[in-house]
Order: sequence, then C-alpha cells, then structure tokens
Amino acid sequence: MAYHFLDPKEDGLPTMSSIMRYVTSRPVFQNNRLPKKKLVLAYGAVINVNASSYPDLFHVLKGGNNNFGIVTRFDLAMFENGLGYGGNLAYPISTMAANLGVFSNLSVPYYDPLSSFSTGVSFANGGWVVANSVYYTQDDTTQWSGFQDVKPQLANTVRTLNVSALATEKAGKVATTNR
Amino acid sequence: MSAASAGQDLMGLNASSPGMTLWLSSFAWTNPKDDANVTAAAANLALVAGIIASEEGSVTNTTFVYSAYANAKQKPYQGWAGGAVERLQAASKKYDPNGVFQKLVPGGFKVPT
Repeated sequence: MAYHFLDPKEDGLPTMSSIMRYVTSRPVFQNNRLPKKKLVLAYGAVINVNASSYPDLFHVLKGGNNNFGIVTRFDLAMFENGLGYGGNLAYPISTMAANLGVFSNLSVPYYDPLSSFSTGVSFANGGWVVANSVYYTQDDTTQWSGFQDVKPQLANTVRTLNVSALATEKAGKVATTNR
Repeated sequence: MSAASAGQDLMGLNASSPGMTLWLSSFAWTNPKDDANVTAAAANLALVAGIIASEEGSVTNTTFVYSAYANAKQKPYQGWAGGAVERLQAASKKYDPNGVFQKLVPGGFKVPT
C-alpha cells in the first residue's frame, strides 16, 4: 500500500473505514460486520435484509456493491477493545529490501488476528520513501521489533495508543491533490 | 450453486484459503491533462504485477481482485471463486428485473452480463 507524506489535512478526523482496517480480522467481524441492513429496491419497496430475511440478497450485498438497492440503514457489530501498540515508521528507499524481508517474515506462516500492518513505497516531494503502518490490537510492546530494527529511519511514531488516534495520524498523511 | 450460510460473502475466501498479501497502488496528481496517462499507467502496473507474480509461481490465487481497490479496467467479480457471477446475476434478475441499478445508476462494478 502506498500513501504520501504530503502536508497534513486540516481536519484529519478518523473515518470509519480507516479505523475498521485495523480490526477487520477479528472473528466477530468476519463476514458479519453488518448483520442487518435496510434496503430500498428499484421498485420502491423498503426491505430488511439479514441472515434470515432475504438471505440470497444478504449474501450478494457482501461484495456486490451498488447493484441491488440503496442502503438506508445498517447495524454495525461492535466489540470492546482497549489500547493497542503501533504507529507509522518511515525510512529512506535504501531500506526497501530489508523492510520487504520483515514484511515477508511477518506474513507467513502463522496468522495472528490481532496483528495488522502494511508496507509501502511512496513517491512524494520528488523522492522515494518506504513507510510501514503497524497496529497490534493489544498493548503488546514486544511487537514490531523487525520493523523497528531496520535503519536508518526518517520517522517513528510507534507507541501505545488507541485505534482512533492512529487513524487520525494516518488521515493527516493522505495526499490532498485534486485527482 | 449451494445455499450460502450467514457468514459467507461473495468473495470466495474463507478461513482455510491460503494467505494473501493485499496490494494497492495509489496515485495522486493535479493536472487534468495527465488523467489519461496516469490511469493508463495505473492499470498497466496492476496488469504487469499480476503477470510477474503469476510467472514466478509465488501466488496461489492469481485471479482474486479486491473490488474496493480495483481500477476501472479490472474485473473483480469474475475472479471470485464460489459462483459470485451467477449469484449476482440471479439476484439482479430477481430484485432488479428492469435493471435500474445497471442502467440508471452510474459508476461501480456492474453485474457481468
């Protein structure tokens, strides 16, 4: 995933989607994040869609985008979570091989549903940087040593924090060009 | 086509699917005159990356595309296992027989014909 370190946005409020990406591997979110939706169909009917009401439509709406109706309400499954451990790390492009090595080692062979990370290369302000965005959904400060060990670093914000603080931080790094 | 359970989605992945790395390339520019070149370069990057990964043999699922990250030239539904296209077509015929959301709603990946 590539993103750009340009000037921060004025209103870096965390969006739902930016928070969701850190917790979507949790079982409660697996394919049942939105257990109920209210949908308006083409001929004007307003229906409730869930696992037992219009189950075929419930199924295709998970991935079927805007092909079937207008969703006017959805219920969102929630779970309680405390602080996590993560942040953003930036490096010069010379560290790309080392960072991809860490990424690869973290990716296989075991799957930790509490762990979320992305590694990207980004071109901005005339130069290339490598950037890691990491979040462990528990406050486990032993995490991320692989990425922490790669040097040199241009920036490192890894710390104990909650997911909305991390989302706000990332929102400030999104490109603000108009295309 | 089997009945779906409440936990399933259209993308054809499940807990026993092999692990995958989600890859996204994102472009930002300011000059409208660059639109054609940038969108072509972006589509080409995705295409070439898929070819290289496929040739290296390191990718087990070479057809899966995540629709939220796809560019307009990609066809996400066609790459999803488990009968996604058939389910979309059946649901569209049943719930939108006049194709309102296919013909009158612009944008988005439409149901494959």
